Amino acid sequence: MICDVCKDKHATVYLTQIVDGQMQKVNLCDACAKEKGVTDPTGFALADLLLGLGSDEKVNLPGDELTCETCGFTQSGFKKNGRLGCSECYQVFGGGLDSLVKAMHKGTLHVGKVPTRYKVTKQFTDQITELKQRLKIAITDENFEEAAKLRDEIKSAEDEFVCAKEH
Amino acid sequence: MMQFKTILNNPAEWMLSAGPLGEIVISSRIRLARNLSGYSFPGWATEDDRMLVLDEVKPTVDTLSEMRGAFSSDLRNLSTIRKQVLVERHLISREQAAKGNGSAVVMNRKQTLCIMINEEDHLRMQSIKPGLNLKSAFNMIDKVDTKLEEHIDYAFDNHHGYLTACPQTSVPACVLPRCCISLLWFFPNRLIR
Repeated sequence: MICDVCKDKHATVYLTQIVDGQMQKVNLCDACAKEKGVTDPTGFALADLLLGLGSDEKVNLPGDELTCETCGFTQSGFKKNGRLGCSECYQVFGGGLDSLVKAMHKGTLHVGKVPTRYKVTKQFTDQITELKQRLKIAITDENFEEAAKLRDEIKSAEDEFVCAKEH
Repeated sequence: MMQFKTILNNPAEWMLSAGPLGEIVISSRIRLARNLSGYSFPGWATEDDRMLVLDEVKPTVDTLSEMRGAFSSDLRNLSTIRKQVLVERHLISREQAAKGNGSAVVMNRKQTLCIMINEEDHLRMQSIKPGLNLKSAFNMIDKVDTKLEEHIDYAFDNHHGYLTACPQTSVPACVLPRCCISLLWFFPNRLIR
């Protein structure tokens, strides 16, 4: 079995933790187990590991904790039960979630079905992302003619998107 | 509308017939998780919020053509033993059975299609087919999902896809996002000896 964190070495540490009736499992190689400080099961929360937080993670003081302004859900709430409070929590706790998803799956970017009402937005963001990447490469290569062309394409795509949303 | 007695007297389709590879695979189940935009997820929402979601979602689910003559009930109106029957037939989860106010279940006559409202997510939709029948089961639930999204504003973003209460169970890199697949297997003694 391969280590869930490095996805490279053979796993030798198999962790199962049940917190509030929720079972979480993770398999680690020796190096990752040591790195994540998996030595004392009583002082170790699997959600911390999945969130990419180490045992030396700074403990937030009351009032200092990352909180979703929309629903009031806190990071410690997520660490406790592994659930989020609302859809806005994905923006608030976004960084940590990516490492969590990365530890469990091959990628972190959604592919596949998109609700009809989000299709235009998705097409636009995908197109802009690609154009901006090409623009970055063109600037790095000092290909300014290509960069100017891409800049105009981005502007044109943004204008089209605004028009499409208005109609 | 179907009465609970009808469910008791009529086993689910997957219990009655053997589908493809029925000697090994008993049933194929596809489950989709969806949430409404602008509402807290059920585990964090107040009872009032859950009731608002229920009032918004249930009438839409009840009017689906796939749910004509369906069994539809709020969980608070079901006795413990009735909930247990639904759990044993894999129509609702144990988590859903533990819920009361603000949760509901709607299932079609053949018990192949079931929608749980306010389980871990606002909508947990599942289809069950006999044997190894994943494609058919997926097409069935996908059709329902597409119909519902015309009326319900799903919580979605381009990066994470369909936003669910539990990010660990999400499958962003999978072809079928926010989709769980399970098969009920039968292993004869000779295979596990």
